Amino acid sequence: MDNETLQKSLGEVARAARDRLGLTQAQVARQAGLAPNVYGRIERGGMMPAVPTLRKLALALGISADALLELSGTQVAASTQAPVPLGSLSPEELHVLRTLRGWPSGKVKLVGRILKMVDAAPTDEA
Amino acid sequence: MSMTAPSLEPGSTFESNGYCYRIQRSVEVGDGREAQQRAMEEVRLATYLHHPNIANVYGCAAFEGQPYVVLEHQRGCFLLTLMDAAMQVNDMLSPAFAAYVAAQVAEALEYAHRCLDDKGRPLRIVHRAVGPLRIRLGAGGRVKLTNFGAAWSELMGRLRTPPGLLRGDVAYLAPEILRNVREPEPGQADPLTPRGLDGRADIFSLGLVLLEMLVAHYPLDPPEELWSDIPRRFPEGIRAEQLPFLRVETLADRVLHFGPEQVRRACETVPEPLRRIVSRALSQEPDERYPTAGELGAELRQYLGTLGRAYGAAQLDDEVGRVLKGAADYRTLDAHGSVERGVLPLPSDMKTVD
Repeated sequence: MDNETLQKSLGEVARAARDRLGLTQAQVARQAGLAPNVYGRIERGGMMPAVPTLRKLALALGISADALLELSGTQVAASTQAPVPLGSLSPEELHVLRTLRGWPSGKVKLVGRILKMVDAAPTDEA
Repeated sequence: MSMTAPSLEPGSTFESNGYCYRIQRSVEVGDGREAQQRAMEEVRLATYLHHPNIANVYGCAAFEGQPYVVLEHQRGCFLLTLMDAAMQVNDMLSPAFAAYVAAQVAEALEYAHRCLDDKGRPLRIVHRAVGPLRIRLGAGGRVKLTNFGAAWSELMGRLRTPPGLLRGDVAYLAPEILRNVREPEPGQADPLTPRGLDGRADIFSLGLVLLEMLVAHYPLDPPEELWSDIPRRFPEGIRAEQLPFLRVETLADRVLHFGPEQVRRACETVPEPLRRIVSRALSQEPDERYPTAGELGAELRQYLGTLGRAYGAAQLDDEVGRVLKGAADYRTLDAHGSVERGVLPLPSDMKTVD
């Protein structure tokens, strides 16, 4: 997603979230510690919030930063404890995983050792 | 006209023989041959305009079969960039700044509206999209209105590609144009040119820009108001769809309901003589606005004359410098504008859009 599209969709999500709360731009801006006009520009897709501002906006709007950034659960894990979503794997990577799935653990461990060796070897692939 | 440009990337600029040119977005209005011709005609008319407050239009340059508008480019920044910068650091542009910029644009419009072709016939040029992204502030405090001739095809492109997000200067269209876009007269091929359209449409747009400079926010999206009543005002057919905010329809609705009461409320913080000027320029009915941009400009200059301190290009240049300097450290800002590159430093991950 390019920055322009990101900025626009972020603004739209922010506006929808604010609408849901029935708050004015000024009220959200106050809660987030922002100038109301700057918040207005963010909503209209004219400005990109800095990261600390994004956090404050998520809190004031009661919506996850993921929603503001249009990131879905198939793209990113909600926490470091949650499993890494498979959506971020390439079809080749997924195929390897599917192949390993039915293998006995001894065989998987062997593959693990081989992987380590391959990983340590210099890559000549561009 | 023919010329060779090193790059025809839309938005790019290049210098040649001491002049700076800008390649505008391609002239794109769908496949209709009629619309294409209309777009080219708008550009051709604009090449007649030569005024110190108007960026020259050189014509069209074709590249791989696609026509582009070539415009004079002036170093400096768009008014929108400056308004963003001021807002980011909680600074306000002075009323004198607003009045001076609007007076300069009014002069440009007065000239354009009265412009004749080489046979002495009126060209009836209307800009249609006067807005903060069409006003350039250059070195030495020069104010120039850009995009004459190009505005028609840009607006057409935007109106024809729903969902049209509020962007650029659709947001400053006069009510008579918006009304016609919504409900074109029967048999009318060009929704952007309602019957009887004249320069007073530009006076409305300029009034909106003037008000935005004075109140430091887009007047049709005030921070203190909820617009939840909007869906009720829409006709049945439109209401059936989901109604995202600030798409063209929502915006049109706001402009068409920006009556005397809304204008009065929007102007509450505006100093008196300017409040009267803004209100007149923003009348829904063209007959109630200033009949000419010249008259609007004269009243603005008269206001400037009452300030006791001269405000001209030098003062404007100082004020632009002060605001840009204030916003120069991106690390202290809560958000970043991205209207144009090269004016203010940006975080490295903010590849700018043009």
